[in-house]
Amino acid sequence: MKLALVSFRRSALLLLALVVLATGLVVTAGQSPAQERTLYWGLSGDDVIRVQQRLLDWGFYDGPVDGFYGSKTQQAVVDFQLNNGLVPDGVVGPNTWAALGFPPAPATAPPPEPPAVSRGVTNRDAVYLLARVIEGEAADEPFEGKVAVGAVILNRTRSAAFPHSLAGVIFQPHAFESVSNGQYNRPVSEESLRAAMLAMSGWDPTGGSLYFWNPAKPVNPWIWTRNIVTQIGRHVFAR
Amino acid sequence: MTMNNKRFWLLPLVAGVLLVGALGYWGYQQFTVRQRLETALNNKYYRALYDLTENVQNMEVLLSKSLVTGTPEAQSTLFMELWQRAMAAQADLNQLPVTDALTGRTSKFLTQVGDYAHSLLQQAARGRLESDRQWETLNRLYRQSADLNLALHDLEGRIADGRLYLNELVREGSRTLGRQGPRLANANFQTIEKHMENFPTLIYDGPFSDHLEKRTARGLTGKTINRDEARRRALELVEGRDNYTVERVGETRGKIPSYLVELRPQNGDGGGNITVAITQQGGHLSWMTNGRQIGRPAWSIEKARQKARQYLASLGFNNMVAVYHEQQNGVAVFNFAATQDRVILYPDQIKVTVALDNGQILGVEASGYLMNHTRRELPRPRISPQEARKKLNSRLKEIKGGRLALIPVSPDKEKLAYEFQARLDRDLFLIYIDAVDGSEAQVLRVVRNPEGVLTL
Repeated sequence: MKLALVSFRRSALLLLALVVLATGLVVTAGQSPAQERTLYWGLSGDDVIRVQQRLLDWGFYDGPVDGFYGSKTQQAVVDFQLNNGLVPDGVVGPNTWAALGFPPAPATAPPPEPPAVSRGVTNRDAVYLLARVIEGEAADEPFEGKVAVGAVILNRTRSAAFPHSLAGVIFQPHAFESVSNGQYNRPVSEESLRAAMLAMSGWDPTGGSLYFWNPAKPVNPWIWTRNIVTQIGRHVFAR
Repeated sequence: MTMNNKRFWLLPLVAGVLLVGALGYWGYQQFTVRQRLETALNNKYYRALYDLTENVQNMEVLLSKSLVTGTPEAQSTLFMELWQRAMAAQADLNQLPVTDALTGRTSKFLTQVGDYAHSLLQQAARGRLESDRQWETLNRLYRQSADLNLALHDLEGRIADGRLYLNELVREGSRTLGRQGPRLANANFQTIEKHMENFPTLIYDGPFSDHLEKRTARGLTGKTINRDEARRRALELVEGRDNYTVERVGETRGKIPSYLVELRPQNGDGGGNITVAITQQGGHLSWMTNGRQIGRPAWSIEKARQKARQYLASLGFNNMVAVYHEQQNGVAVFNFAATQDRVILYPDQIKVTVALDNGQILGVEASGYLMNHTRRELPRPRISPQEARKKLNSRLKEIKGGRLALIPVSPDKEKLAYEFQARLDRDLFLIYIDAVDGSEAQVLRVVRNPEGVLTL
């Protein structure tokens, strides 16, 4: 994560470089590991998705299948454990994995060596943080309006006038109303997550905008002196 | 009877007194909790302000020193410290409870001082410092930072003797870009900001240099089109065009002036609205989004990649190479880079998203391509791939590759380089060796996780 943020700070150059990779390197990933790791609150990953999907299919879970082991997932795991005579600790250990229908692989299976390990380096938490603010600021906006809000936040990290990290921009005092009043803590929709991913991949419907606001709400008159680029949904975007 | 009467009014009285007491106690508790929270928050803001003042003061001193040092070694040390101080000061400033409208220009100044110091540091590392122009710029930045330092000390002084409170900002400023907003400290920042606005632009070789804001799109060719042409063009680009009707055609200014064509599915089921941005000059596809719900993944990444490649070919992009992909929530994003004479042009990228449930093309992002793509004057490589390979760190294992690629080294500079992939223990790297002078141009670490491949 830190690496990902450093790359933001180091400007457009590294962002461009972020996506530089040879065809030969790209293989379909996502094979299940021989031994499932123990899951608990706060973790994220592909295995969390599988647990959430299974719990959703079996009717214990009704939240988003987003790969984040949040309190809702934990509650669903506890419910599942109570229903299956397991210790209701909210932790997915070997027994719970087996009860969920993912038995441990036989010991003879050779451990597959991944070609390049992530060692915890991922941009996933950045995408999720961005998605939360998108949800808070633009939950009722059309899809491209959501991508646009994400793009504005990322454009700020590349602007000299704003903090140079994603968290710096999002948590700057008075920068985003939904962050100031805590509304960005609402559950994140799949649409917002996808919008965040697109914004991170370079989609920018705002043509490099640094500001957005809803003209129907009272705003600082100063903001209207900015260069207005476009209007998407209910938001005006400006540079 | 009399006894009974007495007890009758005594009971409510006692209950009332107890209630008032409990309420008072509860209220007092709430009050102290609030006080403590406010103090804690204020202390954070004060810390940011004092750190900012200290960092700006150090910047001033370092800049003045840089004017009198003689050797590149001593200068390098100063630039290194200046870069760190300026970046720290910028971070401090942005933690103050003042709206960004009142700190933007100051923030930009701090960023540019740091960025400029960093670019000088890199020049010094390559042994190329042009002394005269650089001295002038440093001198100017020195005077500007001295002004800022003075203003901040003034602010700090007034806070110290109680004429100014930062917590005023906390209480009133909490309504975002709200109305008139707080008076006290904000007015001071407004004064500083006004003063900073008169600073001239700073142009140098770094990502925050002023000249980069005025970059124009190199890939835009052709004559200007009108709304009707944009509408037709958008329908041509969408799969299953017969199922969509144009709902609205808007416009966007910005880096690439475009028409925004909004399409709505006719039958309303199974698909969301599509927005297509068509450039006003030449009618090129700039970007496209589709926010429909995605079902269960049924397509493999390989099949989806083929689909994306075919789609690009149908738009007339034939010599594109797939370089990278990412997948999340049933959607895959593929990055394609242009090629010229079998050299990969990494700055000229088009991204295509494919829905993994039915293989529909959901989105395209071509603004990077439109900003950069043009026929390049590629330099002739001065060294062979074998020679370049010898420049790699001897600890690297499993070295592969060696193809030529054009890579971005700063927002407006590109380098022709040989691309190698190699491994150190379990970590995979991409290493770029300058094909002209043989220097190491770039090292990227490759990180693979279930969502795709990330390079840092």
